Amino acid sequence: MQDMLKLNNVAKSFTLYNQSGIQIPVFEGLSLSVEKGECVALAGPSGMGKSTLMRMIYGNYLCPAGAIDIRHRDTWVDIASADPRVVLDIRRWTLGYISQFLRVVPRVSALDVVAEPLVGRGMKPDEAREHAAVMLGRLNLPESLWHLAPATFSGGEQQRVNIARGFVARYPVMLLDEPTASLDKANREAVLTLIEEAKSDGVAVVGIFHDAETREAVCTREFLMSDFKKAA
Amino acid sequence: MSAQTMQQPARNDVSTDTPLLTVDRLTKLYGNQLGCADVSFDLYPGEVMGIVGESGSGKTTLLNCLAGRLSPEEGSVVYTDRTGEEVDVHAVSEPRRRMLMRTDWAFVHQNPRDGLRMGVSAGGNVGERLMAAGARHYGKIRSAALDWMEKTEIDLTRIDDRPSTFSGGMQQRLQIARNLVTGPRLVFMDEPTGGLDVSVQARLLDLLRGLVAEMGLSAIIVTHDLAVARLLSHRLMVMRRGKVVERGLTDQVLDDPQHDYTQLLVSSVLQP
Repeated sequence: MQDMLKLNNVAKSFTLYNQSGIQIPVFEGLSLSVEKGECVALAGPSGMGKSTLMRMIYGNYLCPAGAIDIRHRDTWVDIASADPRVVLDIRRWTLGYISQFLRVVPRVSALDVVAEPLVGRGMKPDEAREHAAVMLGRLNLPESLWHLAPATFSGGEQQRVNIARGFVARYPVMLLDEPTASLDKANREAVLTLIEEAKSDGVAVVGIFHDAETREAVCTREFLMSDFKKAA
Repeated sequence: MSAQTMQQPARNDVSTDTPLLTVDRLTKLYGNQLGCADVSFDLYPGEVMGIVGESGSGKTTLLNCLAGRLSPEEGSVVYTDRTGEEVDVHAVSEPRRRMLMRTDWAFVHQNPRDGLRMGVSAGGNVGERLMAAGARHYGKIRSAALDWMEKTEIDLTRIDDRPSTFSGGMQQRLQIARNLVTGPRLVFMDEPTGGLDVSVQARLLDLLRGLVAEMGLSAIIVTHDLAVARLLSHRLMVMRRGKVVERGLTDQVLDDPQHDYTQLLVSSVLQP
């Protein structure tokens, strides 16, 4: 199968200048390749840098050492050294990320939050909202909520908006940070179905799943983060 | 799903873009005092850049130099116009620069009173900029003014009222209407939400975000409000004492700041 994502010798540490310059090492020497249709679970206890690694792949955290290569527009691009606007282009077309929490914008309805990635690709807003409605329906979000801003939604409702936003546009590579954390059984099933569909479409998935049942259901292999723990 | 089979339009391919604005080693002094020093960057079409930093960090000075409102001691600002011609903003003739400001560029001031004519009706304020750019047909000017008042959510029955009778939020929205009516390519904004209370800010931000995306505008936004910067800008420059201390993708700079000053800024924000 074709590689979609290649991490080569990646390291990360944080320096907190305003707390007497303390250095917090996270990991080092980390390499990982993810192929089309694979779902790799980042495994290991808290504090191993699972979410940090996800954010580095997304370009949200800087990658000070090593390379994070992603297949974008049929060429390899190193996210660690790419220009901001190239990273944004990668995020628009190639790389999706479902974080644990929805970042809500005042006054923007759930439907528009979900439609936004498609509008960003140039789709007409009305057409994008139709796709958004289908996705929110699949995730069982009550229609009465679609036109409200998600700020007042429950945790589970916000999470479903977040997931709908992540799956409304097809990305060849997806990052999922605890996508089922605050969901009940029926909604968890709906998300698992979406992940399975993405995999059979050839999407390369990297995920964090604390729930063992979910992990066993969708993941093709585990990647143990504690192997790369850097001593303080 | 048809969305998934959508072709990637060429306009989204960033690799073939040429910069709209090229800024090279810009330095501005006030006597011995430093305004801004050695600032260089490229701004590409459709890109929104935020400039953040505390009061006195030189961000407004930089913005004024970029927009040709102040002359720098050193460095250059080159703008590529609609025809592909490169214009050296500080070397070009005054009439040419003014023409640019009336047509291709727009400048939104923190205080709407600096960007509006307070003695002229709301409709007149929007229409005036159209006329400065060459429009002459009264009916078309008035309908464009109405259209823009609607886009910026101003009650259309207020078209003949003077902005001095408007609230601060309405004045700011009118200033934005006045600026965008000519379809500029590049908008400079100096603390656009600065003097507004938070409920009004949210409305204005939502409006600006929508318009910038819809019109494919490039913008440079000076703000001390990191939440505003996160919401509106694609990338950020952090300024301190006239110098750019950190730059990058907006969410990267705010979520994983590398410079001690940026870390201080980010960690100083109060959570409501």
